Amino acid sequence: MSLAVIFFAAIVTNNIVLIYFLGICPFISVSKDMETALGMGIAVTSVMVATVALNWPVNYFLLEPFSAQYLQYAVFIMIIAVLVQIVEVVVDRYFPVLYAMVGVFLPLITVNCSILGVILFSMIRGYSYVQSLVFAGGCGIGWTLAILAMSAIRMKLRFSSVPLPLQGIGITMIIAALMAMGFLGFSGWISL
Amino acid sequence: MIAHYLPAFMILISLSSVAGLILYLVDKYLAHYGRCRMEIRNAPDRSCIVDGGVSLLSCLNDMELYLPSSCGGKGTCGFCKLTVHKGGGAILPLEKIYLSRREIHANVRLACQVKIRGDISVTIPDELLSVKKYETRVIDIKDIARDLKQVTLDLQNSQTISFKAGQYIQLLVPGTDQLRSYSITSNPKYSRRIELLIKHLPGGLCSGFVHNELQKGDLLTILGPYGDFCADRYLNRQHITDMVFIAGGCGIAPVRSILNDLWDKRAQNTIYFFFGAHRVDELYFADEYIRRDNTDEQFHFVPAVSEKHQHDNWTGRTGLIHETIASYPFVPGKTVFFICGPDAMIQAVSELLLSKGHSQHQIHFDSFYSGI
Ligand SMILES: Cc1cc2nc3c(=O)[nH]c(=O)nc-3n(C[C@H](O)[C@H](O)[C@H](O)COP(=O)(O)OP(=O)(O)OC[C@H]3O[C@@H](n4cnc5c(N)ncnc54)[C@H](O)[C@@H]3O)c2cc1C
Ligand code: FES
Repeated sequence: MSLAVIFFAAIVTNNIVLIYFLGICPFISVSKDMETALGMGIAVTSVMVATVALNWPVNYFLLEPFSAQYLQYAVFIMIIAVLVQIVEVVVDRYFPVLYAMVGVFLPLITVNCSILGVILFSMIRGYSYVQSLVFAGGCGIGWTLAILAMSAIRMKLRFSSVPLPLQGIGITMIIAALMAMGFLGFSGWISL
Repeated sequence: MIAHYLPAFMILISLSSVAGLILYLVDKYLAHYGRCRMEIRNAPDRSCIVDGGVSLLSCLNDMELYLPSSCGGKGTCGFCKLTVHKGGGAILPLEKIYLSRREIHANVRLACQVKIRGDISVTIPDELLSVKKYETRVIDIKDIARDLKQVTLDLQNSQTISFKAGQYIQLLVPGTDQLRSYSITSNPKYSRRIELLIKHLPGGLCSGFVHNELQKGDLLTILGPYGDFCADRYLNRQHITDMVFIAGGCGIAPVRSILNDLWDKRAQNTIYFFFGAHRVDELYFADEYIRRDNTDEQFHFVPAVSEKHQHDNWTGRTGLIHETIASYPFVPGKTVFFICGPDAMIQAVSELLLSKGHSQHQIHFDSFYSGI
C-alpha cells in the first residue's frame, strides 16, 4: 500500500481517536484551549513516531528471532515509558509554560492507549519500517487535528448557554460522538 | 525449559539496562540545572548560590526566607507573591488567576510556580525579610465556645517574637508540609508567648487537628509574623476621629489584639466594634466588650446575630452586620475601617462603605478564607 494512502487514511478515514476511540482521556481533558491542545498533540505525535521507530526494530530484530513475541506488551510499554520520561524532561526544560498547561497528562501519555494502539496496528498489518513510521505520523497528526477541532468547538461553547447538567464533560462527550459520526462517513472509502 | 526462557530473560534484562542508562543520562544532563546564583535585591547579604531545578518557594524556605503560603505550594492560595526581575521564565497560566494586570506588568510572580532554571534575581516584600521560624510548646488550650479553642504557645529556646497587633502567623500542621494562617489574638507586648483562636471546620486538616488531637505540652512550628492588618498607623491621628472594627465569627482574633494594643497605647480615637455572628453562642467574648462599653465612653460595642432562635435570651440587634452598620453616620475621610472575617461579609461591608462615599484607602480588611 502506498505511503500516501496510509498517511491520509491514518489522518482521516481511520482516525485513531474518532474512529477507534483510542486516546480519549487526554482528548477530553486537555482540549479546553487550542494552545494546550496543540502542545499535547505535538507531544503525542512525537512519542508515537519515536515509539514506532524504536519498537519496530526491537520486535523484528530482537523478539521475533528469539521467538519472544509474548514479551511484546511488556517491552513496548517499557519503551513508551522511557520515551515519555524523556519528552517530559525536554518539555519541562525548554517549554515550561506548555509543561504547566498539560500537567499530569504529559506523564499519562505512557498509558495512552493510542500510542500502544498504533504500534500494535502496524505489527498486525505487517507494515514495513517506513510504512510504520508514516502510519504513526499520520495517526499523531490525526489525533492532533481531532483535539484541535474539539478545543476550537469548546472555546466557542464558552459563549453558548449549555444546560447546567451537560456543562463540562457531558457536552464534550456529545460533541466527540457527533464528530465521530461525521468521520464515520469516510469509512469504507479507504480500508487499511 | 530454562533454555527456552533464557533469551527472553536476557532481552528483558538488556533492554531494561539500556533504558535505565538512557534515563540516567537524561536526568544528569537535561533534568539537572546545576548551581545557580540567587540574588535578593533588597537583601544583598542573603544572596547566595543555590541548587537549580527546585521551586523558588522551597529554595527561599531553605534560605530561611519564609513567604506566606497556605496551599503547600500547589498554586491555589496566591499568597507567595514576590517580584522576579530576572530568570523567572514565562508567566504560567495558573499564576495569572492570582495576579492583577498591574502586578503582572511589575513582574510579580507566585514563588511556588517559578522553577529555578538558572541565575535568578528577586525582590522579597520588605516586611517578609524579618519573618522567622519558631519552635513553640502548647501551654494552654481553652474552650471558648463549642467550636472555638484558644491555644497559647510558648516560644522555645529563649526566642522572642516581635509583631504588630493584627498580624498573623503560619502554623505547620504536624506530619504534613501544609501551613495554615492564624491571626495572633494576644497583645504584642508579650513577646515570649502568643495566643491563637482556632475555629473548628468539619473535615478541616489543621482546625481538625487542633480540636481533636492537639494536647498541652505538644510542640508546634510556626512562621511569622505576616500581614499588614494593623491599626497603629492611625493611632491618635488628628484627622481620624473614629476607628471602626467589623468582625465576623473568628474574625475577632486580630481585632482583640488590636483593641488591647490601642487601649495600652491610650488611643484617643473613638472606637466602634461591630461583631456579627450566626448564633448568640458565636458572639465570643461579648461579655468582656459589653462591660468595657459600659465603662468607656470612647468605646462602642455593637453585636448582632443573623439567626435568632426562640430560646435565645437575645435582646440585641438581629440581621447581617452590614445592615447594622448602615444606620451609623460615619464621616468619610475621618473614619477608618478594619474588616475581618469571611469573604462574603468583607465584600458586603466594603460595598456598603464605598456606596456611602468612604475611600478605598480607608477600608482595610483581612480575608480569612480567600483562595481556599
Ligand atoms: C490571614 C489569615 C488569617 C486567619 N486567621 C484565622 C484565625 O485567627 N482563626 C481561624 O480559625 N482561622 C483563621 N484563618 C483560616 C485558617 O487559615 C484556615 O483556613 C482554617 O482554619 C481552615 O483550615 P483547615 O486546615 O482546618 O481546613 P482545610 O483542610 O484547609 O479545608 C477543609 C475543608 O474546609 C473547607 N474550608 C476551608 N476553609 C473554610 C472556611 N473558612 N469556611 C468554610 N469551608 C472552609 C475547604 O474548602 C475544605 O473543603 C485565617 C486565614 C488567613 C488567610
Ligand atoms: S504557595 Fe504559592 S499559591 Fe499557595
